[in-house]
Amino acid sequence: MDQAAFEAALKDELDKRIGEVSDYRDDAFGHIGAGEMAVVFVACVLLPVVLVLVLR
Amino acid sequence: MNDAATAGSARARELETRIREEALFGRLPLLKGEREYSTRGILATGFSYAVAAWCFLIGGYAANYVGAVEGMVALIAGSVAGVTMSSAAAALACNRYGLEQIDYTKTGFGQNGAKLVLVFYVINQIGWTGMILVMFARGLMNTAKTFGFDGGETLVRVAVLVGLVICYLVVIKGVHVLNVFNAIITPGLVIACVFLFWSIFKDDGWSKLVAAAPIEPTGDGPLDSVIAFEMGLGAGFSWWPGIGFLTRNTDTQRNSLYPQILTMGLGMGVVCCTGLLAGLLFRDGDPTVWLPLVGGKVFGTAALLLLAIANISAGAIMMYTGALGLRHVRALHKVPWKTLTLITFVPMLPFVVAPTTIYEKGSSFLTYNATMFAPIAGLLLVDYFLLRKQRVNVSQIFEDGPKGHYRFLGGFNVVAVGCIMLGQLLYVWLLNPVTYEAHGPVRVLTASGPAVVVPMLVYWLVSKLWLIPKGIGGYGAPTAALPVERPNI
Repeated sequence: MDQAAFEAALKDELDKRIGEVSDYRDDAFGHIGAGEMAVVFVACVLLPVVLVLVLR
Repeated sequence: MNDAATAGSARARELETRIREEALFGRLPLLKGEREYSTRGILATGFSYAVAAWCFLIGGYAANYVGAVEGMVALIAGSVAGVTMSSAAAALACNRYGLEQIDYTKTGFGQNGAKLVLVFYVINQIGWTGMILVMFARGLMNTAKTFGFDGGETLVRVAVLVGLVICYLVVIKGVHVLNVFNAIITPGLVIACVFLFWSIFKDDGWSKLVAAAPIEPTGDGPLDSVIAFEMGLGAGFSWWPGIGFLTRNTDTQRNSLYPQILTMGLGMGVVCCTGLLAGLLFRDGDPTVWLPLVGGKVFGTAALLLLAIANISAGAIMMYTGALGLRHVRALHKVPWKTLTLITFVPMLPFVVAPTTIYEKGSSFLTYNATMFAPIAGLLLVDYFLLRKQRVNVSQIFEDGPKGHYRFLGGFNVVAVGCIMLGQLLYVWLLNPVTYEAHGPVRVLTASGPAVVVPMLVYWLVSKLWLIPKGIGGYGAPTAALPVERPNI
């Protein structure tokens, strides 16, 4: 395939996709808020660290 | 006329196919309708990644330093915490915008700064591939030994070379072949794990395990515990390069995060425990040594062969993603795929020359993954959640022009680069990943803890005081698409 034609098509496709994903709203994929993230960090980062330090 | 129309239509189809491949396996943002993984799909894929041959290796390393209970806690806790830190920012951003991981990293490190991260990324891929290929080769050597043929180091060297050639052939032919491999390997490894747990725990195995001392501890209890925890963290952080590759293809934010924690964190931690317990029981952390001892000649040989195929499959996937990563280097944009892949394989040659010497340093490489990726993961968390409020301008990620938002200073976010250097130096000072020489409060704070938290604080502070007021880095700028003047794709 002609490389120049591919690169031109790639650039067009890139522009099209950038436009589309830039328009996705916060809840397009279900938003994870600050509170939920805080719970994740306490449960999956802080708690494991504390467990290791306490149970050794 | 008809011939011309047919040729034109074939060209259009070929173009469409290449563009589609560029989106799925390359760097084009993946659209919402193209995402393939729902909850079930990402759980299955994550689990097939997590139940990999290196888990046995990681558990075996930990058996050198800690006993059964302490080791299980350290490995599971470490891999859960490591994966959570690795995936939080990268998973959510790559999912929301359909971005490839290194492209997303440009928002934090700059267009050129991301290439520094790419170096760590490629080291990770090459290092793990080399390690598991040596494991593959030692598995073959030990299988041959059970049949009375002792090929020694020469056989290992030849097998590593053969493994490299097979991986190369798979990568240039297309990793789709691996789907067939994985359909056999993953259930096989799950069965092997269940059998291993059963073999270990039968006949008073648990009481024997609890009483079993670590194989080669340093003699400093709290330090041994931290070393094992750092191994778990290293295992978790090792996933950082692969997270975006998976999560850009998931259908929701929650599916981009929780299944990874569950499979690559918790699942991998549990499977690593197999290696830990077997290592303690058979007094050798090397799975190619203890596998034949657990199940006898038949099961041992079958398990070693399964491990060999699994290692080839995992090696090919990592070299594939490593070669894809190199596409970010402008000079390599137009290099044919076969040549690009070959370039990725060249740094693997030391594994052919001195396989056993490097294999024996594997635990250092494991810990070094935490050294490399802990500060990067922490910094991206601050950048994505606290400074950018989960919003980036996708058009500017692909903008290489001097006015691009993510150009920062000369293409580098010097604050971010400085902070990861600070984090890595801090880690190495607290716990040298090669010699395990320890300094400062490592026994209380661990090495990864300060290596993550200190750069996070410094980065947040300097960004608030300097980058943001000076308008560097596009913080707070509108996220609507801007025309891309000099695309970097």
